[in-house]
Amino acid sequence: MLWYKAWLETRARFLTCFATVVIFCTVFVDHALHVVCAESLSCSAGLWDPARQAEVYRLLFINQQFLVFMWILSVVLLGMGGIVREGAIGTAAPTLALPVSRARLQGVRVGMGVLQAIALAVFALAFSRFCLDPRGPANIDETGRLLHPAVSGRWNGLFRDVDPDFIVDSR
Amino acid sequence: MTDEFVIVTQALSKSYGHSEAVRALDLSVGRGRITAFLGRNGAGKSTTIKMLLGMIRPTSGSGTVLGNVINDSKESVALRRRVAYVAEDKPLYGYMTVEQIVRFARSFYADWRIDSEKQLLRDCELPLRRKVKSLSKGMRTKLALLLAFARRPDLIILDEPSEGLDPVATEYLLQSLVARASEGSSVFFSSHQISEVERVADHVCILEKGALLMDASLDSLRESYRRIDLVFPALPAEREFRISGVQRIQTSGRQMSVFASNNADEVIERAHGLSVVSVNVTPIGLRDIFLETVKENERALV
Repeated sequence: MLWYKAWLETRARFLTCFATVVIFCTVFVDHALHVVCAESLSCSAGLWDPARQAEVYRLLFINQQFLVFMWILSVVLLGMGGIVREGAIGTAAPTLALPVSRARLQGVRVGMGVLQAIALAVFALAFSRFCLDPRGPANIDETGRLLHPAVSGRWNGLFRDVDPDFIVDSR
Repeated sequence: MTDEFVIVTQALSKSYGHSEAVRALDLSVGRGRITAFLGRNGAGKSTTIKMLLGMIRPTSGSGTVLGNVINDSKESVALRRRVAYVAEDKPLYGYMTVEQIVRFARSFYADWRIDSEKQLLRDCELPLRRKVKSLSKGMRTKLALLLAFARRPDLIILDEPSEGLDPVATEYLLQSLVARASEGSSVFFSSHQISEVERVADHVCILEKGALLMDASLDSLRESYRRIDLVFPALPAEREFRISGVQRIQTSGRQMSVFASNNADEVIERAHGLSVVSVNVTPIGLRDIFLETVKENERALV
């Protein structure tokens, strides 16, 4: 139940960070589509214009840097709290009166923070991989419709020829 | 020794910088009793309780609760498993609902009694789906007490339990305390409500400026403390009555009032030797005993 308590205490911050990452990724896709496809008919035809490859790589690189920065900020946010915070808001007494050691209290708090940080990182990675996966155009279209109806149908064209490892290994 | 007492401390002290919150406290709380812990604001009651539960570390001294050493982190976890505690101001997790906090607390204790939980929830009329932060102070106090009383612990420690309760709820609390004591739990509680203490406590400890001033049974206090009102044809000197046990002497006109913690018979004998006109001996209530003890300590310090 300590994990449950830790989740209840941090879920607002975690969901805020998660929503921020989702919004950021969606805005990026939308922006990328405008830049790459606005003047080209090839995207709507399901083809990606090779002449704009450098532009796409530049955008992906910027996107990755921002994602890393946002993840670090999220880790700082998720790392806040614990018994010092509980002392400040006046709930330290019931926590310290529980029949558990301080080490366990701290361990659960740290563990929850680490899991949430990993979840954010995995989501960002999975999002990028999923969008770039050349084997799943149907899924890409579906995701596009879910995240941003305006870009529906154009995902496939944008990301078909981009190397999926580029996002992860571009450093 | 450990069988006889649930709490034993030796020279237990706690300092915050240069300020001594608790000074060399030697305390013994008997098993199966209801012991009241009295003291003014800032006397060190809550600090003592927190040290007993291993929530803060003593600066010096030692102590045991239910035979577990309070300074040892492993033993303090074991003792908290056997102690039910209600903190001052009843801090609870405001983001949980009543149902969630009950479920949360239940998961930590093997001595949790589901039947008691249900009974208490009914008696206290607590809304299960409501968030704790939206409960009134009285409701929060009831919830905190429920979390303690839904168990069958060896020792119940309560820090000002009746604070914020209406008279009906206070009555319920006092009855619950007596019921738990009759079931075999020892009760140690701090309070400012002396009338409540008088009703339920077997034993009284008075703490003042971190030091223990009194540790006595309520019956013995009732038997030994007396107020003796004397009327003389001409008021004698106060020093005639400055004997052991006399805590305070008040004079007004030809009347003299003597507060004695013992030796009341000696005072009356001396009064007769000084041609007293009228002698009236009355027992002193716990409230006056407390006030006299604290004032006496202040005078001694001056």
